[in-house]
Amino acid sequence: MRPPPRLETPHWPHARPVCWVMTQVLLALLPGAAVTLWCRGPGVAVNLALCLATAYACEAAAMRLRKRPLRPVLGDGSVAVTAVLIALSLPPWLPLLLPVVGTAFAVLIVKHAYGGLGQNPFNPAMAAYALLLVSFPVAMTRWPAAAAAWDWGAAWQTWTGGMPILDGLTSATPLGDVRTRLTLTHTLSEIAAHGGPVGAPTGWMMNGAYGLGGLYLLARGIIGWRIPLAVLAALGLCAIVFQAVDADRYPSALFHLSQGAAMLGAFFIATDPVSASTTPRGRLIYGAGVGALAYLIRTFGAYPDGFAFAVLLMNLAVPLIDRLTIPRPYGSPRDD
Amino acid sequence: MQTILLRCARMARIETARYAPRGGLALAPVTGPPPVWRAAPIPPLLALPLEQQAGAPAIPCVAIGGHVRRGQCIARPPGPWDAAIHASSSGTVVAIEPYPVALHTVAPRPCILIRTDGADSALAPLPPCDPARESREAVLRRLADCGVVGLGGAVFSTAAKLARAGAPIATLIVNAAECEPHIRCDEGLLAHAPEGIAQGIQALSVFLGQPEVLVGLKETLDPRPLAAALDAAGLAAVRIIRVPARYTAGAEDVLIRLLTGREVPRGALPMDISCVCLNVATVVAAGRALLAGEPLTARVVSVNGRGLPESVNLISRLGTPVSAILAACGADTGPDERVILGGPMMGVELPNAEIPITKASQAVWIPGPGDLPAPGPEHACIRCGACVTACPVNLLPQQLHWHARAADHDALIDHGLDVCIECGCCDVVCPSQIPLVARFRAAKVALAEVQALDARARWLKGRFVAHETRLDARKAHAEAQPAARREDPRARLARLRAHRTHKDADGRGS
Repeated sequence: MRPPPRLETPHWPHARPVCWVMTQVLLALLPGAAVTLWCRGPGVAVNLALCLATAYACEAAAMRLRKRPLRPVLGDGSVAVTAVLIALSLPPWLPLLLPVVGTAFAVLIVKHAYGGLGQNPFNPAMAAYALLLVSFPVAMTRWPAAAAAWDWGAAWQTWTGGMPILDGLTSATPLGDVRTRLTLTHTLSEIAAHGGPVGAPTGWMMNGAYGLGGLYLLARGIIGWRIPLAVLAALGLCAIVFQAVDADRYPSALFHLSQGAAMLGAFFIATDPVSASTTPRGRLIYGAGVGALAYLIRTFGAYPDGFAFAVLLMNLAVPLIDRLTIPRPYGSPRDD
Repeated sequence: MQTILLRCARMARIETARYAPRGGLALAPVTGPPPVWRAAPIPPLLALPLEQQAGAPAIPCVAIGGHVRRGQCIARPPGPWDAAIHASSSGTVVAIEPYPVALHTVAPRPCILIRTDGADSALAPLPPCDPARESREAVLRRLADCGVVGLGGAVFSTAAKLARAGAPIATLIVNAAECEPHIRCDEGLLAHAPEGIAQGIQALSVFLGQPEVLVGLKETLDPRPLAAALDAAGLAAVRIIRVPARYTAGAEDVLIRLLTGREVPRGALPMDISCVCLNVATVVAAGRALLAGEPLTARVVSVNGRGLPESVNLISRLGTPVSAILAACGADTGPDERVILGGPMMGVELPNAEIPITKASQAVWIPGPGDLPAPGPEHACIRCGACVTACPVNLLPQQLHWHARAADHDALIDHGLDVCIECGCCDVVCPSQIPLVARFRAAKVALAEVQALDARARWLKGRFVAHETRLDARKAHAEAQPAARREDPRARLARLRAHRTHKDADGRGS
């Protein structure tokens, strides 16, 4: 039997469904995740497993509560991307409750309380990270030193909520390390003379891997060039300007681009389409705002990295940016 | 040596569009040998819809049971520069009644049904109407009387278009960009009737006061036959400009921007920027109407798709049912085949193959497996912006979608819903499979209704305000002269009494 004619046009197959897009994002995260796992130890895998399980459970629960069909949402993979981004931003050894709380907050409150996929004004992963950072500042800023990454005894104690890690076994992130030492009135040249900031090579490796994944997404046309370019350019430009002011207090652009969440933030977090600006010019403004705020928070704030707050602050500005950057429709006067 | 020089000169005239396209899609190009060029046989029944042009339907001027000949006018134009409709073969008018046709949607519309007699006897053609000698009105009259409308799908009356354009016009654009896949009728005309195109261009440029003529030619098509025909006709100044084989390059507004860098202002027509854009098939039809006095009774229909041995450009009489077109092309199709009238991007899927060909029908396409979008649920918009990149007219389809859902009419106007050409690019790239074009059509209808209501409300308010102003003015006038009106109450009483007595006396007297 012939189906009834389609009344809609066009009669042309749709390109790439959402689940394909999300799968590609997860694929692009693979190299970064692998390097992070290698640098930070098995705690990352534990976080990944916890976040993914919580995310799917919460997504299912939310859809059940909202009386919506489960299958399309669980199949689209967006919740997996959120979970993976949360897991990759967390320190490797944490009380087990933290990833669960963060992910549940991201999925239930940040995503579904606002209406689910496509409706959330804030980036769920970054909102979760920010929640955990302000609620559990000690646990969230304690990064095990490379030697302690595989210390299962210490890990067990952390999981159960203890505070076992001795000073020798923890370390700051390179960004935090530099800032701490700068506040102790060291100059950058002195830090460099003492072997450079702690952990900088791992920062290079992880950012390199995320950068590669980001280039893959660009090549597949899944993300546009505007947001990542604007983020990285603004971050680099801020660093160059401040370094020109005082090279002994402000690290170079290269340092900023290779440390912390620079590449993850620019290619995977700021490019979250739902919470980012949607107009071409708006995306440049949004990206530049994220990059500049991230630099300021990194440099003058008290947090290990500035990307989460930078992204959330710019999310707040998106409705305004979108409104002010409507492109000129064909045939409209040029002077608006 | 001379031929080489000539060839160089010819090649120099063939340029590439200087202005880059915006958005659009590089849809899979249709490959294979050039389409076969042949004529369709006369079908036993012709169904000629009265609505074959943008605007009001034509008015039948034949009686049921009457005999008609090919080229005979069977429906008069409703407006001054609207196009007439002609019998496309000889036969007997059997009915004038609603019959299913495909315009924007498939619905029964009034049609003149002609049972053909096979003789195909034709009326003698009208005398030539040379634009160099005849008056402007005579030329426009001829185009309208010969039923010439835009054959690129919009079926806007060519006479109405040129009448609005006024003279002289700066630019005549001939649209041979043919951007939708599976539509190859322009390709056929360029290969098999380049002389007709050249003659049409010549006649129209004389009429329009020798404008600059630009032919926007799809870059994958061979420009040489047309260049040769133009040279032979002495039209060396006509510029052939190759435009990218990219979807929506052939949309009128988009092509004008590609070729001239200018944009048609919102709410205006190309004529308002001193530009006339005509499809090659329209140019040929206009040339025939003016120079040979032949009314428009047939058009080229490009037939492609699954089950067809070859790609065919079929010269088809208007009113021929699609089933006869398919049969003439040797289509191996069953009654359950899905058939699209038009191209895949903007065509209409037919409920059955008895729907007739009209002046708007550029193509018949039989989609193969996997050619149509897989039916699937619509997902939530993730604001990815793929639609923004694809939009050829610089809109934000995803924002339009949101505002349409919220019925926010002011925002829809701000975001340029009226600019949308319904090309379907946003629809194709949408990862959430949202039927955006369908939404925008519905939103346009809703917006038009709201605007009509608003207009009526404004009119009523205007009337009310005018009434109030009038009352106020009267009151003010009365108050401005209180002294004149003020009289002694006793005197007033006396006056009224006197008036009453007088009136009573009058009443008694009569």
